[in-house]
Amino acid sequence: MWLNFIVVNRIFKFLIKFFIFATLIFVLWIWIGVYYQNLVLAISRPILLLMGYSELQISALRLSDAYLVNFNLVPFLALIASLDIEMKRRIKLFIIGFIIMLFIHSMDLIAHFPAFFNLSEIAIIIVYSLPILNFGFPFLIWVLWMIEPERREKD
Amino acid sequence: MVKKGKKEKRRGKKEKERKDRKKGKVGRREDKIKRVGRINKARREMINFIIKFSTFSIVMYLFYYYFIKDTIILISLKNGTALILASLLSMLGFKSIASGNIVSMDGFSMEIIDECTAIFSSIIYISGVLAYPANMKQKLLGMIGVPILYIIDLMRLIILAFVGVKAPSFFEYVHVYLWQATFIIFVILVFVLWINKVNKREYVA
Repeated sequence: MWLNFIVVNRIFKFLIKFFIFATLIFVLWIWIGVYYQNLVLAISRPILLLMGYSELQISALRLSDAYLVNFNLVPFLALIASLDIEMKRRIKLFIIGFIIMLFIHSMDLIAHFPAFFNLSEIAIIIVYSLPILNFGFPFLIWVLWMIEPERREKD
Repeated sequence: MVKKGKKEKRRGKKEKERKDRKKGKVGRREDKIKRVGRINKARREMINFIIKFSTFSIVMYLFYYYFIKDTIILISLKNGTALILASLLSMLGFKSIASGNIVSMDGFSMEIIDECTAIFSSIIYISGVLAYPANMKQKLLGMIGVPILYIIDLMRLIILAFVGVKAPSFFEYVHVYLWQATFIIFVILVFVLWINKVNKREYVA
């Protein structure tokens, strides 16, 4: 059997760690999420104004429940927390990942305007691509950690 | 006189190399060069993976957007998923009927949308398999992961239906957070199992 006991054991440990961290971060996210959403809006607002959308159009955006949408930070953070890596690298991954996620979420919010006000094809493609980004980004982070040169060298 | 000086220099150099080798300095230097070479090679592989993964994901997403979305293929997949789900729920003792892409149970109904067919997670998984350095046979073997992800997705839908009927107030939490957010971990797990098979190494966190 190619899947030996050690691997199963390590997968199981990793899963348990991941679910514990995901639950804890999720509980925090219920409060933090709304601030994060406001941060995304603060970044997007000047860009939307530059694009020609009015304050009225921007303020029409209802964000009261929208913060739930950006939940993919929860599995991403849980993934980083579950990885068996040193703290320095963990912080580095977190900062890089957070900035990229913030960029993706801002881009998504901005794209909603031309997608729904102007029916822009490119904007619609960006809006619909969010599930791919939500899945793809944590996946990529994890794979990169796994095949990163220094770790390979240690192996 | 000049000739003699050159010879002496050469002899001195050889003598130094001999002493270095004795002390193990040369070996260490060679090891360091080899190590740096290996790191650079792994870095190249990493960059290669990022580029290939991103390209495959974008191409497959655009293919989905232009040729699969809202077509008979995806409609059939959604309706088929609804039918399988209704059958499984009936087997588990829930009275359920599938009508198109909607599954109705006792006072609760679920609409099967594109995301419910594991299509996005499959795109990511396939992109990962195609981008990973492996031969064609191994990549074909990796495609087994797609039906596995679909089965996990069906399990997710069964649990969601169960929560929807028994504890509707928790449905949104389980739907949005618990499952959508954690489904990625199953994509990673299936990918790990495949890599483990390909490399016969223990690549787990």
